[in-house]
Order: sequence, then C-alpha cells, then structure tokens
Amino acid sequence: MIAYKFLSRGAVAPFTGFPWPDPGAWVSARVDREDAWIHACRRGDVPYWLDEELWRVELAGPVRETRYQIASPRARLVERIAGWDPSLGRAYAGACALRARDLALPHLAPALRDALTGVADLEAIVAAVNRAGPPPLAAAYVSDAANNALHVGPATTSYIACMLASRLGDGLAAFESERAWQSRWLAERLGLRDGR
Amino acid sequence: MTTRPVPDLTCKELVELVTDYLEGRLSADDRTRFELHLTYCDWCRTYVEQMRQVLAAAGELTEASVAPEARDALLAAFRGWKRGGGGGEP
Repeated sequence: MIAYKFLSRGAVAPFTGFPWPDPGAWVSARVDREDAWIHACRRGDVPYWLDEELWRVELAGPVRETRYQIASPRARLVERIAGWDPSLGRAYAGACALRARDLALPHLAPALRDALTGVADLEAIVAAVNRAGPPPLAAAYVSDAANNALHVGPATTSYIACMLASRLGDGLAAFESERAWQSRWLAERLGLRDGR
Repeated sequence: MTTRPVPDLTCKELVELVTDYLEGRLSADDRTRFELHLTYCDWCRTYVEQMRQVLAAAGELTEASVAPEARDALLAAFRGWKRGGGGGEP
C-alpha cells in the first residue's frame, strides 16, 4: 500500500529519532508488537502530521487503520515529495490563515468584518484586528493565524484555523472538517492520492 | 462522533503524561493524541526532548557513581526538606 510519511530533516523519524535508510530499503517491526509498528498517513491524515520532509512510502503486510493514521509492521521509503518545501509551506500557512479569516467573518461586528473582507495581506489582517481594540474571540484567532503564518509556520497556523473552526462550529466534527479542507489543498498541489 | 473540541492534548495534559510516553506506557490512542500535539507545539517538543535527555542521563546513574560529597549534600538536602525546611541550600 502506498501512503505518506513526514520526517524531520535528514529522513529522521520526528518522535523516535529513528534514522530511515535510503529509499528502497525495508524497515521492519515485530508483527506481534502493534504498538511498535511504523506509522504513516493516508491522504486525509497528512495535515495532522506536518514536518520538514514529506515522503511517499510503501507499507507491506497487515495495515492497521485508525482515525488519524495507519500503521504497518513493514515499510520502506519510496521517494521524497519535493513539492513539500518551505515555499509551499508558507503558501499553505497563508491559505490556512485566510481560511481562518473567512470562517470568522460572519461572527464579527460589522466594522471589523468590513475591515477584513477581501484583505489578503497577512500583515494588514493583523493590523486591522489590532486597530479594532480588544478583539472578540474569533478575531483573536484570525490575528493569531496570520501572525503564525508570517512568523512561525504551517503546522501551528493550520492548527489555529482548525481550533477556530472547532470553536465556531460543532467541536471535533468542525475541527476535522477543516483538516479535510487542508488535506484537499495539499493533495491538489502535491499530487497526493489514497493508494492501495 | 465525540463532542471533544480537538483530537489532541493540551500542553498541561501532555506534561502530565510525558513520563508514561517516554516509557512506552501510553495506550495507542493517548500516544496518538500526544504526538498530534507535538506536531505543532514547539515548546512541548523541546520539553519532551529535554525530558528524554534527563531520563537517559538519570538512567546511567547508580549509587556508586555519585561522588561521596555529592551524596552527602543530597542526603542533607533531603533531610532538611523532610524536617520542613523546604528546598533551601544543602
């Protein structure tokens, strides 16, 4: 099964520090130790696990599917997805920040809503929220998302957009719905597919 | 569908679970929630890495490896703490 996996710089697993071998070399975990199986992402899981490098991986043997990831006792790197780079990361963070703005607009007072409508510049979004005085909750999230897109990175920005969706909508379902939008954004630009 | 607002942990919850995480004692669901948090929270990522280093270093310590003067200073500090003297200088 073809799936996706985020790794830290140098093809290192972000949580265990495991250095992945070159593409093509299989890595195995004990089949009877499901807690030690190798994790990977379906297309829809990708926004949850952002890191520096995105790889296409092949899983072999049984595949356990859970809510936000899949796991298998055997896997190998196939190829690094070069499209996931700092430039696309910044574009994605910006898109998530603008999504946060769009989600918030119906919940804002008219003056602030008018000030933010159609504004695509992230600095201008932050400035508009600051000018409005102590921001209501939704506007605070919008400013936070824009600030993070400018100065922190896509993982935090996309999470803030999902948090805003969760607060404005019906909790976890709205959070996951926003993640689904993010998954589509990434899949369209990176050519990600759900593989079998 | 659960009504939980987000799928992961808060920073406070993560701090409470860090030892279990590093010792491999979390359930699969809790481990997923723990690692979901780490993907976007640089502060917690740093904290977990520091705790990992502390545990690795502490795991190498044995009673015999502690210098006598350090052992005496620690024992004096613990005795003072037990008497209600707080955590002042040993």
